Amino acid sequence: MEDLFYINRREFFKKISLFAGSSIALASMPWLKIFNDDIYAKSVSDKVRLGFIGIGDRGSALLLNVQAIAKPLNVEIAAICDNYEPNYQRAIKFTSGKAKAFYNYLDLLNMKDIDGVVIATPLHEHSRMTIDALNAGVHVFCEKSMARSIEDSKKMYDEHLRTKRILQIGHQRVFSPVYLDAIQKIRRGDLGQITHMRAYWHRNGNWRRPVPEGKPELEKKINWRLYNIFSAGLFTELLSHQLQVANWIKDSFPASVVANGNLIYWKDGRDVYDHISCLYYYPDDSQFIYDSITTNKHYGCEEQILGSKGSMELELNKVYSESPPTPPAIQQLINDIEKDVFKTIPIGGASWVPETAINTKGDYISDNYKMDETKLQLEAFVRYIRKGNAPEELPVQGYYSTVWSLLAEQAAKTQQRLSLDDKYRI
Amino acid sequence: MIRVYHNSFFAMGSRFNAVFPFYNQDICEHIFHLIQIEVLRIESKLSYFNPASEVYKINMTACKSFVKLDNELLSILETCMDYSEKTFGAYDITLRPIIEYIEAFGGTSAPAGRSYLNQIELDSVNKSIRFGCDKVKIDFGGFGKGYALEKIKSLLDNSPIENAFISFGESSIYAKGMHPCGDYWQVGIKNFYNAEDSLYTFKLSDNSISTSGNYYVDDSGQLCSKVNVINPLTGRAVDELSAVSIKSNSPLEAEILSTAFLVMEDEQNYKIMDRFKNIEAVKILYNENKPIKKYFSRTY
Repeated sequence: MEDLFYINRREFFKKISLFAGSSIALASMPWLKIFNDDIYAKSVSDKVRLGFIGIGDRGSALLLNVQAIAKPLNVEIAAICDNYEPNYQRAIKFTSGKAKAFYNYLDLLNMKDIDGVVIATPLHEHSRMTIDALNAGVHVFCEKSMARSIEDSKKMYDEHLRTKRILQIGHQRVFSPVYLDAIQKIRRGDLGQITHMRAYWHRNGNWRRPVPEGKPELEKKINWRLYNIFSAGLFTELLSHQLQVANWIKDSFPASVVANGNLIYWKDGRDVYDHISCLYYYPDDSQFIYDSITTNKHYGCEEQILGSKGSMELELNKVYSESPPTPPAIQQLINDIEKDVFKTIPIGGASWVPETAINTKGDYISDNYKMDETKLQLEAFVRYIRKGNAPEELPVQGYYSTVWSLLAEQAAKTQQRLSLDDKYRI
Repeated sequence: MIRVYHNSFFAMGSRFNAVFPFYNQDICEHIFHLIQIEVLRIESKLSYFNPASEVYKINMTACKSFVKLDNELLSILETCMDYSEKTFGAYDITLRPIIEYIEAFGGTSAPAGRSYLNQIELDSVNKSIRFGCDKVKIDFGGFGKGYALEKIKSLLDNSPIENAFISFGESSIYAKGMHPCGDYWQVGIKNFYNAEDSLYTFKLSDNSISTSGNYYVDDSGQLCSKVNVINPLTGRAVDELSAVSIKSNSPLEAEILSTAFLVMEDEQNYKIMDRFKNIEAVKILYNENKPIKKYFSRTY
């Protein structure tokens, strides 16, 4: 039986080929053009050799996703690297010992024939590893967020420009069919003027990974997300995802941000906030309101886009009109009453459909919601490597979502309304 | 010019519309808001599709053990059982699995597809329900709209709004009072083949119309069969393209009877009518490429 991924991939390519005829679509999503050119998809004589640095939970997921597309795209997982023994052993197992295994990423980068690396290490290590990889002439796919500091993020971006190597940041929603269709509809004006956006990511859990018994020294290595020195917590791990979506939808970047953060529940030695809230102002005075908590999951994760003509709930794949068309019979009735006319209200004509309960509230933004955007973004990375470059919009999206997430962290800590210093604009 | 308050929202698979010949903007908005809250409450309780609804939970668990019911849901289920008896089994809330099978695999029936109403064990004393086998699923279908209209009727009766036209997707209507320029509200059942022609006209004042049909109009304007009505006595989809409109003082009765009349033969329909008061019914058949109208009436 044909794998669901390939069926979905075929559907995705159909969508992309439709986008090719739309100047609006390609201007908003130039990174999709690569899927229109089959010469970058597979070349028997041009195997793409990838290395993986960091094989924790996310790194493993990325590795397995690439394995799933390796054969049709002629990709070899040539090397793996992790300095944590259980992850190191797991990666060897995943690759059946065929990939060269390293504890030190510099040894991996010393391999002469690595085309690209996928970096999924703790946040504070991204910058150093990415810059070293770029300087080694290797293309980089780095999980979001880019770096622990704005300075380091800027250095990564600058180094990517200087070395002319690809720097792709892992924001999978830019490859999600639902989001692509949503952007199409928003750009053509379906929602009217976007004046307000809300997003949230609510979880109920301590966000901890188990530390091996008797090895408390590994606490910060394993639970790096909980410590300020390594991570900005909810700002860099969750907000950055949804802020990227907001920026993409606005086709703009924030002008300023105010924020708040508290550690009010998980007082277990961590020092990152377990509740955050942010308010971003865009240059057109529209707003993006965000909150993320770790003590209640009832509302889950959502991005709500509110425009003068309609609304979208992107995670739910739903769109709602502010003024759905009034049925002809009701419209006629209103017109008759306003004109002092008494006429029969017609029902059951050709435009009328007997109702059943199978409809749902609102309409779906996209029919193609089952595709795996993580695989698609990794396929794009392989294709970009084969082509030798990638659209600049991708690292720009990644850069601004990172630095504005980090600015929100600073705003929460200083209780000031902050803007991005000109020296960090790209 | 008479001003009109109009507002709408989506619920129960249709767009709900309320038209109030202008009384007072604030009052109209307030009443509309109360209606919306009530309709959405009922929907969230009775929805077959919403995993958070009580009906969904019953469908998932009642085949394993008794499931507790609140007073409202117990009363609704008792009402459905009562209507099943009054309609000689034509009204049945256990037919959804057959529709789902036909939608998935085609045809006009499902293997072992039949009414499972007798497999519902309703314990009124202990306020609980249990299914006799795992094939039982309850779906209130149009009942929810009729039930909501009953609540809206009561809500409007206790409000200053004297005249109102309320519509769920134009298939379930309640009309209160009268049109500002007439002595009643007049609703015409349109002829599919001639949009200017009303096949039958109902006069409404403090009463309801419910229309059930088993067809839809495709993109090319053709009538097509829609498998949404199953005859519980045969377990088969009603294949004759037809629609039934029922006028009744009770929105709920109109809803129940419009479904029942669609599946029953004429003779049975007259017998059903004998059990209800002030019912007016019209059935339109479209099988012969022209509408055939059948009119049933009992007024007591």
